Amino acid sequence: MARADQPVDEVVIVGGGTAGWMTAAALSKLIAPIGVRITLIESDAIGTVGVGEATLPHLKFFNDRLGINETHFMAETQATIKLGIEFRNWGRKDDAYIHPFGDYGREIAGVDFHHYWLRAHKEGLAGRIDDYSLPIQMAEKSRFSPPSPDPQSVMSAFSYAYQMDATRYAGFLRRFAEANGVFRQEGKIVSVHQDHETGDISSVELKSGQKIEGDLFIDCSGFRGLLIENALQAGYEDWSDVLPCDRAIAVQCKNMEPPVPYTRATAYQSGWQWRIPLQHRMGNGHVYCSAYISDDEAASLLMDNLEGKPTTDPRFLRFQTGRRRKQWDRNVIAVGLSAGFLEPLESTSIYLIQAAITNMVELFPRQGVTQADIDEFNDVMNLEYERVRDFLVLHYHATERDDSPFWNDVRTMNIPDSLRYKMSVFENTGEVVKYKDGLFLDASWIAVYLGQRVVPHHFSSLAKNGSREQLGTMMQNLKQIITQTVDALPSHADYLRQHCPAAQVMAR
Amino acid sequence: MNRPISHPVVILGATLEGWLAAALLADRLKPLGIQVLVIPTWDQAEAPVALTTPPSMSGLHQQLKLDELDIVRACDGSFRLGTKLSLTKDDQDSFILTYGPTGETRNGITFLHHWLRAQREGQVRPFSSYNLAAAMAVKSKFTPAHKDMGPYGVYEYGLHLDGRKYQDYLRRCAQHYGAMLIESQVGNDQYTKNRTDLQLRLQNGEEINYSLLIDARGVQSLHDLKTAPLPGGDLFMRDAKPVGQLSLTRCEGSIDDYSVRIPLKKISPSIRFQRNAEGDLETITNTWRENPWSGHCVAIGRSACDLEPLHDPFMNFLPLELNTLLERLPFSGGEEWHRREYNRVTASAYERFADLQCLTHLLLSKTEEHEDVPQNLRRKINQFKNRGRVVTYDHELMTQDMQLQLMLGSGLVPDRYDALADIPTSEQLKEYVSSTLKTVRMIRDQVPDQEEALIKSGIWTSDKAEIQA
Repeated sequence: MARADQPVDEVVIVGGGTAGWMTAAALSKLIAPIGVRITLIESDAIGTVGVGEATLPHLKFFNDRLGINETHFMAETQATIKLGIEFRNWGRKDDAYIHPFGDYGREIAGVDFHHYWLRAHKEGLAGRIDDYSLPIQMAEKSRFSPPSPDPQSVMSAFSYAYQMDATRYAGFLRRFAEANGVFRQEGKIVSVHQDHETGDISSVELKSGQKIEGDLFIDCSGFRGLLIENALQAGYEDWSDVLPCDRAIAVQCKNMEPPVPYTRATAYQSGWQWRIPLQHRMGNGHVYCSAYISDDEAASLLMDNLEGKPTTDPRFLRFQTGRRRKQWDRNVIAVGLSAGFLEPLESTSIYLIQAAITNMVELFPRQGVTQADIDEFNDVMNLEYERVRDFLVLHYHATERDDSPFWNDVRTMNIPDSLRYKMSVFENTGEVVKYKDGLFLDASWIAVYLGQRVVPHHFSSLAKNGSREQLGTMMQNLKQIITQTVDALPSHADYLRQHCPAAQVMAR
Repeated sequence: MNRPISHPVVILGATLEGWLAAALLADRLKPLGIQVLVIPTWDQAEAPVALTTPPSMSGLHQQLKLDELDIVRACDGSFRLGTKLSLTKDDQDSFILTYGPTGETRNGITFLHHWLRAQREGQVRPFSSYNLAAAMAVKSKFTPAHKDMGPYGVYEYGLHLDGRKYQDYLRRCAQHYGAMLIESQVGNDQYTKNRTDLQLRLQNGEEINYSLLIDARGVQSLHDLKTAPLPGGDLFMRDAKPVGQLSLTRCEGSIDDYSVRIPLKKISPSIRFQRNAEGDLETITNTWRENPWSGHCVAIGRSACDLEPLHDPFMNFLPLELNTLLERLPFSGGEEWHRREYNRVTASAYERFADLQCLTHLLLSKTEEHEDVPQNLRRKINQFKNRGRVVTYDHELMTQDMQLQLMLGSGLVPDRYDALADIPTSEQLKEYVSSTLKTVRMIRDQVPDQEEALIKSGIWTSDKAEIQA
């Protein structure tokens, strides 16, 4: 155990999987050089959830900081490019929009582009706002080239993420971490020992009888929270009143066509289905609310909707949306599913792991754990979870669907005041409420608002400057520039073939 | 109910903030056919003798297509790189706040942590010695940051200006953009009550309709107020002889009785604040409007927020207030929600600024017990003390770099530094820290003396030239 005056020399990571190996890889690169030994305990007998096949652009920064070569990473994880997420049937049945990782148009004379689009759309001069987003056009046409560093270039207005095999990513990072000195201990933990005086975790005991001692423990044991909850009882804040889905089924199938550079989330009667195309296979899953649909019905729906032949048996997961009340308690830091769970609708699972690791590294208690470190980590992570929660709730609440009890409930449920305020400001002014520390920026909120029919009653008067003809010409020119730019790019499939071809493997 | 946007926007108070608002609004609204009227009032505040502007004012100057060299020329001004705070008895405790970072990040670790380790090993000079803006300011030098300075070329700057001349400059600018001055004043009983839906009648009997009324009188209202943690006091302004260090604002005295000295051409006016004193000039209440926009009236500047001059709240708030307002004008509907969002952003900024003044007071008065301190300030103090982490919140106007300089300068030394700063050997650390100092000094030495540069470029006239003229 470690207190303020006791240095942290031994870090023990409990659990492998995406969270465990991301933590191990980061600590091996960033913390081990100061003389900290890192041990990761995992059992081959315990499966991993393989969280987060679809990611956010932040993952690139994580890999870059560790010095991971992108081409190598993509090849090893069968990764494809991700430019956004397509949402089908969310605002209404048969609606579709893409939440892009980039801006719509460009600010004109200090006024955000979407105000001009709102006017042009009202005057019949513009179609979908998607036509004015480079990443959306690239996604729809399945084309890709990396962003330009030149801020004047139209190709600078987007970023990208990856769709990858999370289990392979964990394996890739395992090799990276072990090469950097992380010791992997095979074994199943059967008991956890706490110091009688301080209550800190002192060691974990394996089935073999071996005890692994540590100064700081990272709980990556998944939903059960072996240390943070079972041992320390840090508590859990249940958010199922606003995010009621509590089950998921995952299954893989063959690709029937070249992979597209975006993830798809299709809403159904009592939940939604994901579709994540990788180089060698397709990841699929159905997230649903068990109060409205049985497991069998949910599984049937998923299997019926598969585009290719299934290559794995369906895996059933149960979860409760929410967050751990204390993600860092005593000498235990929870990372990943042991810290909380927000459904994968916006691919935030890996981002939240990454945020925890980033803050852990910044606050790493080398000289000993202090209450100030603990408080700060919990404050920062609580805010991360709350802001992601609001954005996810928006997807369910901003709907006109009334075709099932599930949609009637989420459409009419009470939502957090913070979200209600943001929605009201947008509906009444067209402005996106801004905060300093928000994961999702203006374009993300605009995408979901407009995509789900939260259309402002008003827009900036300055967007009324200029004649109808001038506006029409401007919109037309912008659309044309984007179209011409995108049409000149290589296809996503060609890009993958040329830059990061994965080994030909049998889909698992 | 929304009012017709064809009605003029009326600015109550021909004050500094009134003319600045008038210039920006006229530039924005005149092409749309909306008039901007400025109406003096009997109680409007006078222009400050002198003032300092933060870097964010440059954005407003750019919007108005104003050349800052011309502003400095017309307002007997100078360029400022920061503020020197000497608010304790011991002059050794003085420190400088600048608009730029200190040192450079190496191996993902900010300079602070390398400096903290080096300090323990007895290898360092004061933290500000490694801050290029501070190094230039101490030697009375100035140049805008440029690419040739490498990673050090990222600091910003503000201005020292004669307040009366700047107000007049802004008046001419506003009138150039089409703002109209109404010669007749508003009757003195017209706006002292609830201004939500005020009927504006001039002394000459004329009634003025408006779509939006901007209270820029510079006079604090008496309702809807929130109070800062620190008690208010009185202001005394006076002209004074010039001080050296043209690029530095100086804040001297004690935390409850201090003077802000602003170096202008030939003089350095002084603004003295005395907490809880029986004043004879201007009382600072240390309060702000919780809802500065109510009904069709928006209070800006000193009418909205009346904080003591420490860190210069007045000129820091104007860019925030006016930019937040300009984003919304002219209304095309949704006025209630524009109002709510404006109030949320500005009131939060006022509160955060008052907190930072309180933080400065706490640190400089060496208060050990922080029991009554608001939770957000306690978090700032604890985190910095714990490991040099600077916690910032939404709507804070003081940069993270500046807050770091404030806490360290006030004597709050972190208990620990980032463990990753232990990776370099002592020799490597020594080399890194000393090369940082060398680079800062080398760049500083290439920068011209500000006064010489201002005279050489004709922005200031020399004594000799003035005599000849």
